[in-house]
Amino acid sequence: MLLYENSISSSFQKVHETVKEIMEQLKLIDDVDRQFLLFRINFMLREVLNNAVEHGNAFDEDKMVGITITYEKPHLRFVITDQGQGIELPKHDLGHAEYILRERSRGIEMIRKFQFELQAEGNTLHVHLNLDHVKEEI
Amino acid sequence: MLRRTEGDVMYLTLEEDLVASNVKTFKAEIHDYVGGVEIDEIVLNMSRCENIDSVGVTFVVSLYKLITEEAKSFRVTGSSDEIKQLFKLMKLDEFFDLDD
Repeated sequence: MLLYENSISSSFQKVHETVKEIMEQLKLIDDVDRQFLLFRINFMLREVLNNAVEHGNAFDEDKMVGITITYEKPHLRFVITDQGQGIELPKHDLGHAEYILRERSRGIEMIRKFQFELQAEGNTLHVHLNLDHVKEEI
Repeated sequence: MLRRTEGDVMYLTLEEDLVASNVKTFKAEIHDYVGGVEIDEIVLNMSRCENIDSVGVTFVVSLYKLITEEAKSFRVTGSSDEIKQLFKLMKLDEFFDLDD
């Protein structure tokens, strides 16, 4: 089932407005309408969309970010496409103090801790969440 | 962001979500609020903050670093259970307190 499909320009403000719009749609799904889950999806969406507009499209508002969200119970899938040079996902885990207090790139690791699966193919990012496997306690 | 000072403690209250589209404004306000002020502690009240992203987390870490570099203390109050869990997963609770 297609839940959402859109193409947005490359700004943090547009991401903010779009995530709010998407979350209103997702709240309508009983399986998703749980506070901890909505928080994690909100965090994930902001992360991948912010990355797309900043690192993918370099805030070029002529470049677009595509968003497609589908739900086939229990699989929630997000496909994010930018017009950049390609997506490289960080591989590190959280560790020592300097790393914990670093300024950047902690978001993708958190998404993984929140039990989202990520796969990058060129400038497309696939994010999958199996709602049957997601746990409130991590 | 609201600012209130009581004695040596400055209380900062976020009135909006701590997300990328708001962080630039928050940074400018912090620069104005904290520069050259004689305080011993900053308390960041997040009770009105429902959502956060990694740019927002970076803002909190930057604020922590800014304050503690001058041997002052920093703590966060009023954050939701979800934001607390996020900070704990990031192990930020090893660096500053997360009060109710």
